[in-house]
Amino acid sequence: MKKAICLLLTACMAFSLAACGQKAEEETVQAPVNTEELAETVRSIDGKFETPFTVKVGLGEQETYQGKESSTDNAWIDLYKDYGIDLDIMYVVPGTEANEKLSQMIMSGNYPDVFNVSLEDYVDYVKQGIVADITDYYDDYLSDAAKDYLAYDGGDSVKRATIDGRIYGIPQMASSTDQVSVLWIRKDWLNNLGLEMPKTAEEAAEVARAFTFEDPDGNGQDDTYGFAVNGMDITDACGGIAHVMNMFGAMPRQLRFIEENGEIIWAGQEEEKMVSGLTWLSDLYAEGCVPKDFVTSDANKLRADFASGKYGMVVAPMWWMMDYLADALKYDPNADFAALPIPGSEVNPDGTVYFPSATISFWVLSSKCEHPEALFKLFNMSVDYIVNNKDRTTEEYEKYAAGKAGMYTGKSLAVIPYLDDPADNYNNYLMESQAIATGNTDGLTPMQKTHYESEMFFLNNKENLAELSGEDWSQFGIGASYYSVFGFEEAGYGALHKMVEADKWKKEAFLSMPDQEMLSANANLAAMTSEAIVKIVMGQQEPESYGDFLEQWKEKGGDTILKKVNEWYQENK
Amino acid sequence: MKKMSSGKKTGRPTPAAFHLMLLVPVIVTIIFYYIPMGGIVLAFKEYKPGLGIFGSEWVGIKHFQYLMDMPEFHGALKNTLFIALWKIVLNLVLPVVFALMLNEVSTKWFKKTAQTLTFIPYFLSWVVLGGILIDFLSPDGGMVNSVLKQLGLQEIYFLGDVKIFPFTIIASDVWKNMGYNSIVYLAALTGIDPALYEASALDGAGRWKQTLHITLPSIAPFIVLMTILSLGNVLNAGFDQIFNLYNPAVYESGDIIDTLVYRLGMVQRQYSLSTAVGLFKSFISMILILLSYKLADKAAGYQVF
Repeated sequence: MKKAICLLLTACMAFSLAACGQKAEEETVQAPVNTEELAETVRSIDGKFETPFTVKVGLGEQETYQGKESSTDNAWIDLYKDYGIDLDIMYVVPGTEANEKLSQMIMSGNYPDVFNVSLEDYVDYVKQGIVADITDYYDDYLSDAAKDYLAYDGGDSVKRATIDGRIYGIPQMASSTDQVSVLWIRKDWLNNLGLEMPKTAEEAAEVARAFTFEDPDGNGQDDTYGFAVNGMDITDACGGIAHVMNMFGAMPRQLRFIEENGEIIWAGQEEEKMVSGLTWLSDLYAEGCVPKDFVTSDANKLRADFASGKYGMVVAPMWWMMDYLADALKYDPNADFAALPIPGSEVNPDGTVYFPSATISFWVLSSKCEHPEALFKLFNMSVDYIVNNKDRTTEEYEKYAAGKAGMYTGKSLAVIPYLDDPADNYNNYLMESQAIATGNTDGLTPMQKTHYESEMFFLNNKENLAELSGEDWSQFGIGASYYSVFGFEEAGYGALHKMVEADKWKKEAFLSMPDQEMLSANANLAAMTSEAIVKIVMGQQEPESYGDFLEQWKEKGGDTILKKVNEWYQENK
Repeated sequence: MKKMSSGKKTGRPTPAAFHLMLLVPVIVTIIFYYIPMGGIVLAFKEYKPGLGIFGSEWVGIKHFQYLMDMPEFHGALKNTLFIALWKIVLNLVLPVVFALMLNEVSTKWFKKTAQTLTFIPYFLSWVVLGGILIDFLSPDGGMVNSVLKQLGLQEIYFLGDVKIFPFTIIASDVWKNMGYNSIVYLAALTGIDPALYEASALDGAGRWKQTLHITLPSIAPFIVLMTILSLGNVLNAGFDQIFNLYNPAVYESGDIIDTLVYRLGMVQRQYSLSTAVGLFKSFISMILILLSYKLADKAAGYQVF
């Protein structure tokens, strides 16, 4: 037995020694010396590294690959190789498990060189020394196209990536507008009851009552509810109470801040607005317009129930009906859905809505990686081949960005994938709804043209959807999803477009990142807020008790957070 | 004759062969159970993945102090103990009763069917079962509440009422594991010598007396063993189950240590703090197991080793 243990230990040691040896070998690879020349190579689309080097990456696997492509053999990997970058693929896991895998790898200390970090983890990873300081390379290594891409929101995202004057990550750009929820309503029910589109929260409450008690679907049964609410996660964009409060000019989500009289406050801190909003919602609940089981309804349940005609209204994102419109029509061919801008209310007459900061994640470099140029080159390449694809040939466009059925998978295979132009959705709505209304397809981009064709397929087959099957049905479904977002004036993005035109935003004021102290003060505030709000809506507490809750909120860490946020604001405004 | 016996001898494995066979599980145990125990040092360090386990700074019992000072921890500890203790007690008593009752049933097909039906929920994960329960127990047309309504009773929001939620959790857990937990006792029951029953019947003992004086004492060692094993779970109120069923309306009575740690550790990546909580839980469990083992030895003369 003793011998066996000895043997085992020796084996272990030999193994770890071997691992050491390997590491030492890798480190001897020399980086190019001439810095200006190197910077030019990194920036330029023609710049290829003469001495190839290895970059460790982890991949989230795609559900479908086109043609002969796979996670370890595809057009992007060949492209990287051509540029002198060899990918060392540390792991390939299903896309849904990628985050968990990455955090496990980080916990173990052996993690990829280039990876994506969420907004919430960013400061943590910086403070823990997991990611490298890239400030010194930022200006020299980013291509002009990449800088243009990053300037989309006027530099707010780059500001967010900056901690104590140093930059640690390149923001993945997204559109703030896309993240704002709108009011979805059953238009056919409104017509059945002869009601107008609600323009204020008070009118919406009247509509909700009519939807609940006046049998809007005309089936003779008391089986409808006016207003759908997600009580399981109040911060969920799909029906979450925090987003409902937008009608009253509040956003009671943690770490969301607005500016008020030269000072930063929490977006759920204005008592009058919150009390008014909670009174509105708890009245609807007490009257039975919100189902009793709303605290156990999550986003998926709400969506399925909304599509099957249980609810008449919900506050939800522009993509709310994407996966469900086709099914909803199958269930009830007369169903008609419209998206409206978030209505205002007495306490919020302008209908001002909280406007989030768009940054959701950062691309970072491991502090253990010796090639800072790797991160920048990979980012520049993604911008060149995915975002700025107008200069590419059609073949390149299909190969690296759009994909081609049976041949290329496209942009999802890049190490830094999905770098879409943040303005895409907005433009798609303008162009596609126009084209559908007029039948004139001039000026549509290739992407919009694809959307347009499937949207027309949907519209042309809407009347005879019962006869569709197989391929046709799935084509119909794809058309329905695009149509529900881009196709007509009352589509999801149509409502957002009206809100952009109205330009009544309360913009996110804290454009930095919460630090460890703020995060740990925040740990239980989120749970506390959900609990307080849900209790008020259920009638276990009076709406006025929100004031008491705010006192507690401040005491249990809210004050600490506000102090830090305001310190930052005074320095950076 | 001689040939045969010598053949037998060569066919019998030597002790060395047995040891070799044992080596595999021993190595597995060392690699997967003993080596990871080294990770306990994380509880006493401020673990930063960039620095590695050895490079991270020592902070002594800071994380334990932080935990004890946290007001939410006490509420969570209370909820955990309440839910876990009820689960332990009911998961012992009810399966025993169920097994005894099933044992009295003489119709074979009924016995088999009942056993299979109670066993089915055990195979479903809480993710699946959570969704089913939410629908079943919903006050808005859920099956259970529809029945209550038909009977003219008040509707109950099993998953949304602060006072009722812990009992919903306990009851659904007992229901889910009933089949699995009773199988040990059913096996033990079949092992009882029928001669004992025959003898007692001759002495005039009825069914009830037989149960009290023969059946129960015969399966007592198993009950003691199961108690000892389950006491280690006194701080495990069932993360999977509660995480899939709880909601903001019942945080007050449903937030357990594991869900709290999930929010602190996993969502906010406070690795050292989560390790400290894990160590704390293991430590309490170990004390309880040792204690109950001693008690079992004293009270029932029962020893595992």
